[in-house]
Amino acid sequence: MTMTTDDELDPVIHVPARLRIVVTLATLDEGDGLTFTRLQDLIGLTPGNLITHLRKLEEAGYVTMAKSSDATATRTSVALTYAGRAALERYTSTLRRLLDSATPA
Amino acid sequence: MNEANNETTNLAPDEASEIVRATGERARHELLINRPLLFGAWGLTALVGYGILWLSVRDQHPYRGPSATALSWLLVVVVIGTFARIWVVSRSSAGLAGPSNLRRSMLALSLVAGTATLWILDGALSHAGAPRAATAVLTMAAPLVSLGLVFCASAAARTNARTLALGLGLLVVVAGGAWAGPVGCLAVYALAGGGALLVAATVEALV
Repeated sequence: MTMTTDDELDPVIHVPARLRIVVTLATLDEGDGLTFTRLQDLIGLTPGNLITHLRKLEEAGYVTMAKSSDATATRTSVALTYAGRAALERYTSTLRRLLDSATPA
Repeated sequence: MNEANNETTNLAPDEASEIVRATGERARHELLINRPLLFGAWGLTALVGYGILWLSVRDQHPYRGPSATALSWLLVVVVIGTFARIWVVSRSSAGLAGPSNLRRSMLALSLVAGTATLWILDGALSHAGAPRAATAVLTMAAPLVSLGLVFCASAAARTNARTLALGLGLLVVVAGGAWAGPVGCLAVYALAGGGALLVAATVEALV
């Protein structure tokens, strides 16, 4: 898991594509996930780019990827972990603090 | 540019904040059930469905029950309402994996099982000699009783005060309307039951 100080934005999340992935998955209820294709549809990345970003998030412990298969196809579903949800909360509160301190009184 | 291979993105805090806002808004629009549409579909089904039945029986003295024509129109309304609600729910469920899908199925099953149980109870009361005018109230109340209880259960699972208020409101309408008898209860259920659901749809759209 990536550790950051109070004034530092988590570098794992602080990339536009990964930020969009984490925010999208955080909309779901805890324990829910999205299929890879639906996530790709919502984020608008190529499959190659999406899997690269997902692997970085997975390495940080922020998402889990699970494969399931039936008679016709194999599906990959992606879900935000508890650590990922907590990381996004830290990220947004740090972001708010940075924006507030940048706003002239 | 391949962003995945370029980790040195110089993302300013205000840009990041805008990404969080816009992405969250789109994700909520795409992935959460559209509650105004869902409650609106329920409300219109109750308003028109009970309204059709009331128009069919309002001049009956003594009460004989809705006509075959009214029941046919009711079936059409119920089928259209059911398809509308399935569309609303399945739109947000596309690509979703996890316990939410199971929870929605369990709530739908509870609704059907609750209504069916009350109708079976109604049949048993008729079989035991209860007058038609009395059992008719239970027949008409069954769907709203089940819907109110399902909303209460759903509210408890999500700690949602507005859904709990709607569920309790429907149960109050059912209990109060029953005192109006087999004809009057239909008008109460159409106006107060359907109205409560439509008000809930409006409230959900505004908050």
